Order: sequence, then structure tokens, then C-alpha cells
Amino acid sequence: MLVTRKHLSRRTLLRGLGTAVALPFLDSMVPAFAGPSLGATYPNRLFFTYIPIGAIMDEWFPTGGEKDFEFKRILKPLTPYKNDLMVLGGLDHHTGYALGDGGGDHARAGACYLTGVHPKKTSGADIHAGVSVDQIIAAQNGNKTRFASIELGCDDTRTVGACDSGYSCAYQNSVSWRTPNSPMPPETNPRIVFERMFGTEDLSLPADVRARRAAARKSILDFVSEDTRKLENDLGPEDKHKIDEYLYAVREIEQRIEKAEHEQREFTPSIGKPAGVPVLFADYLKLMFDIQLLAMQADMTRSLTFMVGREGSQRTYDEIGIPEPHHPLTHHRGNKEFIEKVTQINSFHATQFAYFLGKLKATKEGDGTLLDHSMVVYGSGIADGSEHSHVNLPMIVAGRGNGALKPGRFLKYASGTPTTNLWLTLLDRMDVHPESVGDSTGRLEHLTDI
Amino acid sequence: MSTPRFRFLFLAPVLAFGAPPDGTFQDSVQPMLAKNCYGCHNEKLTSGGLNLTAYTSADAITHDREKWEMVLSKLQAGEMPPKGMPRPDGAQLKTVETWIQGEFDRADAAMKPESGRVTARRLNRSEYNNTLRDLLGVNNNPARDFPQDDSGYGFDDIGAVLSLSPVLMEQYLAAAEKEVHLALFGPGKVQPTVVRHQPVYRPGTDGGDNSRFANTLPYSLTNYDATGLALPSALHAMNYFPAEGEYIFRIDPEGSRPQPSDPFTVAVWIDGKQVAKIDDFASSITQKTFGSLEGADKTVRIHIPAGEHWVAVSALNLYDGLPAKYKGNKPNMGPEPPAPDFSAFLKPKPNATPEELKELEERRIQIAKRRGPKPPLITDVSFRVNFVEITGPFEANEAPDPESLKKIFVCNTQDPACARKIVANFARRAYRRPVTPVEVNRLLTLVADSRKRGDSFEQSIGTALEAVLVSPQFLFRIEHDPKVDAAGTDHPVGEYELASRLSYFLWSSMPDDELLRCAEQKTLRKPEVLEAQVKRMLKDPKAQALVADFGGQWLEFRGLESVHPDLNRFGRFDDYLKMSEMKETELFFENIMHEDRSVLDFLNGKYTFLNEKLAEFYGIKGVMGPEFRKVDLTGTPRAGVLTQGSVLTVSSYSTRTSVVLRGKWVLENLLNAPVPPPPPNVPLLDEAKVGTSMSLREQMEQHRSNAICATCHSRMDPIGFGLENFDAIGQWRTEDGKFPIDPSGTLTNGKTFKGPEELTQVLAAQPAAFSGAITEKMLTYALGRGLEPYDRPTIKGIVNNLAQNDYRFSSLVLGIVKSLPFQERSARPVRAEESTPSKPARVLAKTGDRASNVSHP
Repeated sequence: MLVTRKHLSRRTLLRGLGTAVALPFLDSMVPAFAGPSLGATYPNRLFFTYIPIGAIMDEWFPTGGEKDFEFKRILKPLTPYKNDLMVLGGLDHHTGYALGDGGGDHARAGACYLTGVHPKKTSGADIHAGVSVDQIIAAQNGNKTRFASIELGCDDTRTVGACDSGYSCAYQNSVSWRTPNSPMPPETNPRIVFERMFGTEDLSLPADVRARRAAARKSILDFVSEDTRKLENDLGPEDKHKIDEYLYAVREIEQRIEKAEHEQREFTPSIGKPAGVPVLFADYLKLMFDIQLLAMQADMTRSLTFMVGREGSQRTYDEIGIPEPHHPLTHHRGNKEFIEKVTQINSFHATQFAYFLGKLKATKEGDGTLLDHSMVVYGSGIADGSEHSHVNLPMIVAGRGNGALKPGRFLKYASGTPTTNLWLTLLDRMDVHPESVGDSTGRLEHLTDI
Repeated sequence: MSTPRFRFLFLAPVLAFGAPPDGTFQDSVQPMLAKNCYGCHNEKLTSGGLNLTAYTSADAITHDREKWEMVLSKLQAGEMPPKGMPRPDGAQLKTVETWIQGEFDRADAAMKPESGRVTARRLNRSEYNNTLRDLLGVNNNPARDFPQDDSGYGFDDIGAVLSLSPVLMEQYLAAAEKEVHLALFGPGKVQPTVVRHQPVYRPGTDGGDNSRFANTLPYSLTNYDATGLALPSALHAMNYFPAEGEYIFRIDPEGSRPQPSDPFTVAVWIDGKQVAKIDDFASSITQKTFGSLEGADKTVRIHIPAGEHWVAVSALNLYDGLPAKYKGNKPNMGPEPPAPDFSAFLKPKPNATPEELKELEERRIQIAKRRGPKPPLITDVSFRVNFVEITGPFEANEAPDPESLKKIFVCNTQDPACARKIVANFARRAYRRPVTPVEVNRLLTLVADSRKRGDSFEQSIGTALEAVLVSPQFLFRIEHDPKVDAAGTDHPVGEYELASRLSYFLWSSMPDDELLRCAEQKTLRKPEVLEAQVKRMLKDPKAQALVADFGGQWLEFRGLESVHPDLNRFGRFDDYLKMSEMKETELFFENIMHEDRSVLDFLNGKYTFLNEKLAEFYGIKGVMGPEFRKVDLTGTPRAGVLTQGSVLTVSSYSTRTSVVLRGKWVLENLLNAPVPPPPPNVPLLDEAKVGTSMSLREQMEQHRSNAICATCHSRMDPIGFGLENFDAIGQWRTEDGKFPIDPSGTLTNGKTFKGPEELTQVLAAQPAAFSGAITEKMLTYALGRGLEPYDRPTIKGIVNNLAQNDYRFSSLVLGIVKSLPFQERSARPVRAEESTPSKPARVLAKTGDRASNVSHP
């Protein structure tokens, strides 16, 4: 087990950004997919899809053994991709439990899912979780792609006030944490995501005009960076923290501009720019998955998180005949009608995920498909929503990860196995090797049995 | 077991503090504790983490304030001593409780108020929009796509909580580019796009379009809204028009109109004013016999100003001109069309099988049934606007707004001297303070570089303006401390900083020229100037921001934007009703502000503001037309904000009311007595039973029978039950399913009430609690930080001042503006904790931490 990088601390991140040295442009960066002539291996991608409030676990886990398993109701839509994914059982998130903090399982489930850290119970300014897996990747490999990471979601938390039992709303709104204090808010408007990836720029403008605009943008960024450094000398610690966030953001953008300038190829997205959020949720989910496909194809990023809903989602599923909000239904306490409705919701989500897998499988990349060259995780930080359990979590890993994974299996791990062991293992495949992530105790075996 | 910690703060008004401690602790309190408490709460057995034997003197109490607040609340709630243990008698308990509260009050009175520190406050979305409006004259909601602002303590303007992610920074950059370009050069060539507005539609239970309203229609074929806006057939939506120009509206109808009828007119309304109409709408009815309107689209081209507008499409005089048998107005006397000929459908095939013949016979019977005589029903007129598609702009106005140009170009020559004037003026206004020559020179370098790249004069100015708009000096409200570090002492904030605090408090926007001038002349602190400015600002239309931003979050009616009542149960909740409910509460707040009324009107003001739609919904007669007007509520059960549709809807679930949510809303927002979150693993409410086999009240019995549940629920549930006559969207009802509503209840202070009117009266009888609530909320909002224990004297002062001035709105605002924390700031602390983010603020009352997403009844 190689130990090449310690768990990144917030201080390290900030200190690294305080200097004005541009990050090195790596020669080994694979110039993205200029054409099929490129015989090199493709970089791996690790994309996470988070479903809120777990699932009706009786209908989740397949029947049968490791290789000859049969999907039950919820995952039945995934049948065509049985040999392209692994269903994992027995994984826990012990840090999701109260551990003396009282109520708030949704906040904890969301916050611990990709961090493996028991979040601090507070509703004020001093939120504290951990660095999430996608951001660990972003911190090390982010400079290889236009975006270090992308965070997507479908629950616009605009004006939603309720938050879990004394925990800040931030814990449920994001599963991605750049630092223990800075959650990465997901973008919910597909048009905006698209514009971020392919620009708001009017590509019909003449090149010299566009060049002038780009130069103006750079000079503005230089200006404000310097302005801010001067300002910082005069500030108290809390204000400095805020300005640090500002500086980090500016730096991020500067790097992205640099990267974009070095990119030679043109990429034409296969879908037109979305106008906004579609009316039907099924269409919305499909669109967000289409965008993730584009992100992979265009090598926009290799680390992405997508929240189908914020943890504790209150979305109503009128289009499948369920007008009640999702969350209260999950507190079924054995009520058959509620269980049925939640099962339908879980199945609905799985259907859209199947759409994604289908698209990935159908998209060629070199001598394989996108599904061969990526790892897509589909899971939740809660298993049963009624008991708020955090053991034996719903977890699927799809894709072959450039030969790193051996799909087509149903693996049941011993109870007490931390989910963070899975993260550590997947991080390995992304060529990122922290000593540990949250409460991890080692790697997960059997994932790659080749 | 970890029970959630909680404490409530009762602003006990009348206790003699300031007197030296008498021997009560030794004589009465300690003996009682020894007899009833030390048994479990001692050094060895620290039950609940509490060792009461450690407190040997009265002083020790105030050092451990949090623990003793817990002790007091448990005694008052009767939770301690626990059931089954011997209880001291009522008088003894009262002595102890009174004594503890007295010690708290003494400590508070002796406490030195501090001004506290606010972390640099990033402009939130509302503030960004308003500031750009005032700075650049642009009004196109630039922050619309910004990510959600983080909120804390119930508000989204808390400095320490607001964060700035890379995504937001990108959007600031993009917005700066776009808005400066818009201001300087106009919208330019805007590509026409199509936007479709199609409200969610639910057919009635029998498949008909309006049948879900059949039993509840407040109108008839001869007495109805002639504008059509309040009818369910209308379509209402907010639409953003990117430029002033011509837009084509395509109106797609659904439903049918019985034949023979006169054609009717469909009107298009913008912001409540009719701007276009299409006559002869039903003249092209596709199927004369069935009168189906499907496919009978019509378009109309309308000139619309830029910006976001309320679009409505409705039928005028919809029920006029119907066939004579409907007995409506202006009946159509034409002959009824002949019955349709179905013979083609009923002809059997040459080699029809017996099954096929049987099917045909059944079809024949069904058709015969349908052709039988039916009574004319209002639901036969099932026209509705299915969707409206807005395409445009065409022939758009591509020029910049002269107002914007006026704000930016303070001189007209295209030379360096003028460039300097323009940039210096803009930076001063944007940074909200005087700018140094060094700062201006740096900005001018940007201008010069831009020129070198080949940009025009205006373009180069634009580059500098963009840089200003993404500078932290613009995006953050930063307050500076004096160089001398006397840790812990307060100092007045600078004049310009005070001007910013004022303008962002009352306008959610930058100081205007007059305020900046007062700051420049250093007169803003003079009491008469300060008061005059505050009064001026409250009268200014920009004070609408206080209504929308403070009011919208305090009363939570902003939440209306994201509620989704189950349309099967609450079919009347369409977009128009939602918009009207929001407008009602906004106008109510605005009125109190403009007329400087008593804030107690929020509790029991016997008036409100209604349009026809809302009045119809509330069952109030005599209000016609789409305009809002003041309506006297005498004779109705409604009063104050508590019975307004907005509040009643945001405090309900999508499928039913919740007495807990409503009780909680009142306790948190009106009485300053928030409740802690529920314990985990609470069993579900059986929704199916509610209204059918068990009333909601019976279902909630468990809240009362279980002593632990009762401590909190005896405070919340009665209030909620008092409001049960209002369903989940605010409509009056006397039954819930098959159970009559019993709106009676008892508050924990013993006061009883029956029905919402009496409830509002009972609440208004405790003005102290309400004035404490609104003061704390508004102070939090104004300061941009959570409140701390050292704010208690400040709050008390503002509340007293409010009471002495008949609770007038302006005296609350002035009280806050003149207070120590608003005027001053603590010097930078020189403590070791400097390297970590500030410790959690211990709030007096957890203002704004909403209950969990867990749905408990």
C-alpha cells in the first residue's frame, strides 16, 4: 500500500493558494481525445450519483449469489446493465449515527457520505465536516481538466427553510466538501451548467473580438487579486476567512482560463443548450445525466457529484401519482402504502440511472465505451429512512474503470465494513492515494478480482 | 439518552432587580434542592450531567447560566422532579422559580452591553440586484441564476454564514460583464427565443375540466368575474422579457364551449393591465358539434417593456353568449346543432365475430346514453388556457437605457480627464466611500490597457467598471477597526460604514447620494439628521426591500415560492392565488410601515388587502376586480398575519394542515419562544385515518398523554388547533373530512380561546412577548449577526422604547438604528482563537433554526 499523500488539511490548501505561482502544466496530461489515433489509456473518471433518504432495502438487494443474482423490484430497470455494474452490500457509515448528538440523521447522512466524518452539530457559522472524496481527487488531479470538479443537483434549495434538528442546512444541501468548512453547493440549472462548460460566449463573434474580451477578463482578474491582497493586511481573522474564500475562487477561475487557452481541440456538444429546468422530473434527471455524459466526453472533469435530491428531500412525484413529499413517506413505520410509494420513487430514480448507464455504454471512446473508462457510484448515506439506519447501505458501482473493476457481481461485505474503505479503493483507481479517508480501515477486497 | 437541550427566554418584565441578594438562596432554595434534587444530582450521581451540590452560593448560579436556564425551564414545565418522585408544594416551587429568574434579571441588568462584531458581509442576491439597479440603472434581475445564499438565524444576510464559492465568483464575473455591457451598450442583438408557460393541470374526478370546482364555485353563470382573471380558466405566470420589443403570444386553448355560442374574447394582461385582446376567439371552433376548442390556437403580437412581468391570459365575459338553455347573459338564440352521426362507428364489419358484434352493441348503448337529455351545467363551459408561448423579442430596442448612461457618464468628452471623473465617481459610489487617487490610478491603468488592445473609449471604461463590480470592496461590506488595539472596547463605525449599514438595512441597497453626502459632511450621527434620514428612507419606494427581504423571511412568506400543495386536494391553489396570497402579506406589511402603525397590527389588525380572487377565496363579498384594496375584516374570523393565506400555507404540509408546524411558527416568529427539535424515532401520524376514522385532535392525543412529548407540544399544539379552521392553503372550513373542527385550546399560561379570532386576541394581550420577538428578528437582520447574551440590555432598551411610543413601526426601526451594536463595533479581539473561525454565537433564542425535515404531526 503506497502512501504518497497525506490527508489534505485546509491550511495546506490555503497556504498553497496564497502564493501566486501558477500550477504546472503537466506534460503528461493526455490531450483530450483528439481522435481515435490516440492509443494511450484513457484517464479514469469517478462520478457519484446520490439518492436521498436511502431505499426500501427489502426491494433493493438482489436475490441470488455473487454472479447469478437477480434484481428485485427497485433495481430491475438496471437489468440490461447487470454485467456492467456491481451491487455492494454490507457497507456502513458509522459516522452517520447520532453518537450522542441527538436528532439529525439527514444532515449527518449527507455530510458523512463522501467524507466519512461525523459532522459538527451546529446551525451557525461554524460548520465542520471533512474533505469529500471528489474534492480529494480535485485537489490532486483537478488541474488536468478544465474543471477540478463539478457539483450538480436537482433540489433547488431556494427559500427552503427547514433544516435537520439543529444542523445547518449546508449539511443536507451538498455531499461535496472542499474543506471541512466549505461545502460545494450543487448547481441545479442545466442551462447554467451547460454555459459553464461551453461558455455563454457568443461563438459567432469574430475571433479578434473574442480575444479582446478574454484579455479584458484576465486583466480584471489580475486587478482584483492584487486589490484583495492589499486589503487583507487590514482585516480581522473572521473577515480574512471570507476574503480567503474569495481569493480561492478567483484563483480557480484564473487556472481554468489558463487551461482553456492551452486546449487545442474544439468539442461540439451533442445536445443543444438547455433552456432551463424541464417540467417533468424524469426529463430533468435525464438532462442532468446527459450533461454528465458531455462532461466525460469533453473531459471537462473527472470528478463529479450529482444529487438527485438533497438529503431529506421533500420533492413530490406527481408525475407518477405520488403527491406526498418524499421525506415523510420514508418514515413508513411499516405502513404498507407508504412503503409502496417509496419503492416506486426508488424505482423511478433507478430508471433514470439506467438511462445514464445506457448512454455511457453507447458512447464510444477509442476501442471501448465511456462506461469502460469510468466508475459511477449510485448510493445513499441512509439505508432505511424509517429507522434512519446507516448500515448495509444501498451502493452500486457501475463501469469498468479502465479495467480496474470487475463488474457483473453482487458482493456482500462483512457487517461493519466502512464505506470509506470503498472510497479509498476507488481513489486508488484514480491514482490518488491518501492514507485514509474519514473512518476508513483499509482497502476493500474483491472489487477487482481479475 | 440524550434529550435535546433547550431553553426559552421569557422576557419577564416586572421583577425587582438591582437589590442585593437576600438570604432566599440559603433559606428557601437550597433546602428545596437538597430535599428534592440532590438525591440524583450530586457529585457521585451526576444525572443528566448535572451536579447541583456544587452550587453553594447565589453567585455561582449566574456563572453557569446555561445550566440554570435548563433547571428553570424543567421546573416550570413540571418535568422535574420526575414523575413518581416526591414533589415540593406549589408555593415552594414558585419561590424557587421566581428566585432563579430574579437572579437572571439581575445579571442581565448588571451586564454591560457590547456592540459585538459583524464579519464582512457579502452582498446577497437581493442586495446585489438592488445595488446594480441603483448603480447602473439595470433592472433585469442579474442575480437570478446565482446559487442560493446560505442563511443563518433565519436570514440570508448574516456575514459569518454567507460563503463565496468559485461557482458564485464565476457568476459575479459573468454578471459584471453582462450588466456593464447592458448599461453602456444596451441589450444589443437579442436572439428571439420561445418560452412556454404551461401550468400544471389536473382533470376533475369525472374527467371534466372544471368539475373539481363544481361544488365550490363562488360564482354563477350570471354573476362572475368579467375580467376572467379570477376564474380557474385563466393562466398566470411571471415571464422575463430580455429586451423591450415585440413579442408574439400564442395562446393554446383547451376544453369546449357548448354550441351554439357567441365567440368570446381572450385578453392578455401585463402586470395587471390589459394590453391586448383577441376577439372572436371561439369563432374557429374546430368541431362545431362538440364545441371543442382543441387546436384553436390564436396569436397576437404585443409590445412589451424589458424586465420581469406578470403575464396573465384570461377570457372576458366568458359566460355571456351561451346557448339560451343555459339562461346566462346575452344568450345565443341560434338553433342547436343536429346530433352527431355515429353510424360510421356502428357499422359492423362484413365478417364480424360474435365478440366484435357484442362490442358494437355496447358502444351503441353508450352513445345512446350520452345523447340523452342533460341539464345545462356551468361545467360544460370548460374553456381554459392550456399554455401560452411567448416568442421574441422582435424589433427590439437595442439602445442603452438613457438612465443608465446618465448614472455612469458624469461628463461627455472622451478624454483622460473625463475618464478619470467617470471612474472615480463610479468607484466612490460602488465602494460606498471616498476613493484614493492611488485606487483611481490603478483603475485607469485598466482603462489604458484596454485602449491599447483596440477597445473604444466606452469599452475601456466598461473594463474598469467591471473590475469594480468584482472587487471585494464592492462585493463585501467591510468595516475597518482603528489601528490602536484596545481589545474589548467599542468604537463607533465610520460615517460611511454607518451609511451603508443604514441603506442595506432599510433598502437592501447602496447608500444614495444624500446619505453619502451626510456621511461626507459627518452629520449622519447627529440625532436629528439620523432620524430625518430614517424617516425619509422608510418613505422611499426602495423600502419595499424591507418588506420583501425582512418580512419575507421573518414571516416566512418567501417560502410561498416553493410550496407544492397537492392539487388533487387543493385544486384552487393556482399560480394566481399563490401570487395574490404573497401580495396580500406584502401590502399588509408595507401599510404598517408607510402609515407608521403599531406593530401589534401584525398580531390583530382587523383589516387586510385583497383582490377579487383572494376575497372570493376567503369568502368575503363585495370585492371586484384584480386590483388590491384595503378591506375591513370586521365580522370575519380573520385578523393579523396569522390568518393570512401565505402564513397558513407555508406552515402546512402539501397534503394537510399541521398543528405542530403552525404552533411552531407562532412560537418562533411572534412570541420569541422557539421550540427545540423533536427527539428521534417518533412514530408516524396515520394520515389515512385523519378525517376518516379519527380526528386530527384524537390522533394527537399521544402528544398530551406522554409527559415528555407534552413539554413542547402543550405549547405548540393548542395554537395550531386554534387555526384548524383554515385548511392547508388558508381556506376557511368547519369540518376536516367527516369531523367537525374544534378550534378551542389553552395556552400554557392558562389563557383559553375558541377559534382564531380569540386566539389572536389572546396573543395580542401579551405585547411584551411579541415586541421582543420582532425586535430580536429585526435586530438580527439589521446587524447581520446572531444575537449574543451581551445584547440583552440593548434588546430590552429597544422593547421599552417601542412600548413607550405606542409600538409604532418607526420607533422600532429608530430604536435599532440608534442602538449600540448598530452604531458601534468591538475592537479586534487579541486572543489565541484568532486562527479559527469564530466560536458559535450563543443565541438568546434560536431565531430561525427551523424544525427538522422530519414530519411529525
